[in-house]
Amino acid sequence: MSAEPLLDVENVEAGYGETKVLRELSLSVQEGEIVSLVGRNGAGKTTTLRSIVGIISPTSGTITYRGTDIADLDATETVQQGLAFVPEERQIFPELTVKENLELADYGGAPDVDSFSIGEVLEMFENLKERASNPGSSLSGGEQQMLAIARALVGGADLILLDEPTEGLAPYIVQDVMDIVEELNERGITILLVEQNVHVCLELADRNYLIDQGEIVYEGTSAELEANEEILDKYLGVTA
Amino acid sequence: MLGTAIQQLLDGITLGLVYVLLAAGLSVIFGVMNVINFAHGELAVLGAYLAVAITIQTGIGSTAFVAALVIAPFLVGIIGVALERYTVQPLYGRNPLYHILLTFGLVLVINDLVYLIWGTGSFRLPRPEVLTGTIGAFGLGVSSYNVFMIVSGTLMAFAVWALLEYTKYGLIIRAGSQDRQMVRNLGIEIDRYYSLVFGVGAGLAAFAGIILAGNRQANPELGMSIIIPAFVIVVLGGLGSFKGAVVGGLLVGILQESILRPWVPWLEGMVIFVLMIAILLIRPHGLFGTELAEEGGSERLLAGRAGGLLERGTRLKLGLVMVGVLALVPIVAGLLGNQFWVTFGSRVLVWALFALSLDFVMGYTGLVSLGHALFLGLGAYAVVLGLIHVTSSVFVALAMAIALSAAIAWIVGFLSIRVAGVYFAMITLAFAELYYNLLYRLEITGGSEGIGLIGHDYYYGIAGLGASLDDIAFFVGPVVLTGHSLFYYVVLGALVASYFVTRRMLQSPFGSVLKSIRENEERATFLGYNTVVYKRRAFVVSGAFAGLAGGLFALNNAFVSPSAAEWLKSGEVIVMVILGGMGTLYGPIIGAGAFFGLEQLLTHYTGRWRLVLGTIFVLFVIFLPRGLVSVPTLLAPYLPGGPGPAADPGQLPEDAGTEGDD
Repeated sequence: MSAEPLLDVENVEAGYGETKVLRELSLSVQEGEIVSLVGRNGAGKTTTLRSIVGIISPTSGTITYRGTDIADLDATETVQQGLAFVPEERQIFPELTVKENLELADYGGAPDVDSFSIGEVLEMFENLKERASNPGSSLSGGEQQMLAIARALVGGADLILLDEPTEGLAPYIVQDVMDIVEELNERGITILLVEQNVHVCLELADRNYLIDQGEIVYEGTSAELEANEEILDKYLGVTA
Repeated sequence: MLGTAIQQLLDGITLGLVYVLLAAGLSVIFGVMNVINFAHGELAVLGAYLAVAITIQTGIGSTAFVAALVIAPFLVGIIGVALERYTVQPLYGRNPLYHILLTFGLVLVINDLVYLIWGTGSFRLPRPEVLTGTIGAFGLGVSSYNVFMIVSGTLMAFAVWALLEYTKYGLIIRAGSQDRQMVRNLGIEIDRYYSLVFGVGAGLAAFAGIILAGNRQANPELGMSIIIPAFVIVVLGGLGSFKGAVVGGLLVGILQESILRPWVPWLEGMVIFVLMIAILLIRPHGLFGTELAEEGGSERLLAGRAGGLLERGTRLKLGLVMVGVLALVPIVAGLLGNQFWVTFGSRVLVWALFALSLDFVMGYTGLVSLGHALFLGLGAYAVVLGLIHVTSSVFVALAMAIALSAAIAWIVGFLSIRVAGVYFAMITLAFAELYYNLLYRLEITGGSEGIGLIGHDYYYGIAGLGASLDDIAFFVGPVVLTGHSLFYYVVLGALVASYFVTRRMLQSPFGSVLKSIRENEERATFLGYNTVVYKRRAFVVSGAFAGLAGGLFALNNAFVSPSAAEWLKSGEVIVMVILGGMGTLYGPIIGAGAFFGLEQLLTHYTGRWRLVLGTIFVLFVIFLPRGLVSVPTLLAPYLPGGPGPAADPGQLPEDAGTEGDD
């Protein structure tokens, strides 16, 4: 891991108004990795992603992507750099059809990154192909998650930030989502995954960061984390 | 018979299509940018006037007509783009209610510009000869211009629909009206499209204005008269929904022209407001609207903090000095032998009281009432009718005015306070317009003529004890204070008393809850307060004081007409509150003084003083949203003598910060 990381977050502080959520948070993601950020509800996971993507701007610290500083960029600009953000609520446009949701993503995204065509992603996600002309509001939770990921692919991204992709999904669909994340990674896309479900992280991620009260309290490979029962119990209240 | 019915239906559709074009622009602008554009009607008028100018320039005829129909909307479109870029844009990220205020200022500016350039006369767009005759079919004669309006209006609506449905821009705009932030998260710079949306909306409005001006007499007031129905349609159909604008526009057009006007003219002008109120209550987001992902929901109004920007002691001292100065006005006027300043002063003080009443609800709970003239009108008519029919005691009549306004405020509040923000503003506007139209229809209110107090005896006192102000005289040196001079003191007394009563209320636990609602309603709810009840109580208090102002307003003029309840009055009082500084109670009083002072100053030079006022107001909304009262605080760091701790500019943070949900 001596190579320059794809994404490097250093000593970032961020929050909402006077409430500080992140305190001196640092993490890095190497190209080709799946990295997880795991922690309890309210630990600062979503805020970390929002700071990286530029929905909120950090009050201090640096965020570099491919060696360039992106801390001051807004959400639109970071996405144009090749980061894609798949929010927890998925934020599918309810009145646009599946196809229109994808077309919109095609208008946006990163111009300099190889992207998938709408045809390609519809081949990848068969459910979406069947529902291509249905409005977003008619999709199930799992389908919405697929569409949200598909939008990121159509826009073009080297790094996808996934915020709780398995939240609220039935167990067999969770498995589907995990399969897709692995497939994307095999195709060369780097993933930063935020999860409350530590089992998903342990199975998918190369490395895991454990976040508590806005600080990184642990970093380790999945094998290391799985073996560290003390940490798992202290910060997540689970035993692997 | 059938022929007439068909003719009426066609009239309804023609007007309906004009409404569709207006409402479509309004609705899409709201959907994408969260901007309620009050100036939309003025843009339509601007289009009509430009079209006339163009046809006259190029020589009346078919070519000129077509040229006007193409060039004028294009020009207005460019004006729209400029307006968006230079006035609307600086306000993104603030509470959407600031856009209502801003565009109200633009109404004043554009309206006066039209007067300045083209004069006050009414006109009709010269139509080419082809469009002046009638077309006969199935034994019916239909005006060929009506056919033209229907065809061109439909084509235009279709063009907009196709633009929205089948182009890249349309897709981005539709997505933006559902969830702006997500469009940004997909890497699309949606802000770049705002000017375009505003421009296209303005162009559509202009087109609607032009074809309407060929059909009926138009004058500079046309904009004010079409904007309100257009709002009703947008709210009916659902803010942000194109389909809603189409259905709502046709519905209102046909209802007005084909059903109400020919069959039940008494109800014309009222039914649409009842319909709008009913729909807002049953389906707050309209017939076809969806609940919007409100991005502007958490931004607060920039009101004064903690009871104003002045320390309590300073406030009291300055206030006493002000009251002292004001109390001298009739005496000085008497010394100078110029009674003008007394009547002028009474007017300012009445409006100051009215502004104070609005501030109580707007500045302390964040509810923007766009129809506060309802209470002014209620109070005014209650006093006049009370003195004519019920009592001859002014005090009893004023008590009636207060009670009636409070009661109606309770009803309006009961029905509308559960709808938030922009919808509340719209529903209060609808109630005020309903009342305004009712005043024209009722016999007891004297219809459009209004009703006067001349010839009716009344006295200041109660139970027969008291006297007419004309029968009392005080001698201050060489000055005799009687009649209107004494009335001035009555108003001043009412204002001072109202100020202390409202200030006392705000210092009570009730006031603390109101302030917490303004700061963060959700948290107030979490603390266990039923915020709806508190807001309703505040609205009732506000209505009561506005009713008192209305009563004094009528007594000052010894006359009242429906114009007391027109929406322009509601707009003007908001201007005063913002000008002075809302959420301070004394700010709006200063605002009323500044408003009328400016009027006095400007009418010396120009009859079109609203142009200057509107411009100043627009600048205030953009650069000084906290009003005149914030000026000393802003200047303090630059003044010698050193800023005190209270004048630290850090106390004026931009509280537009968004709330997180992590």
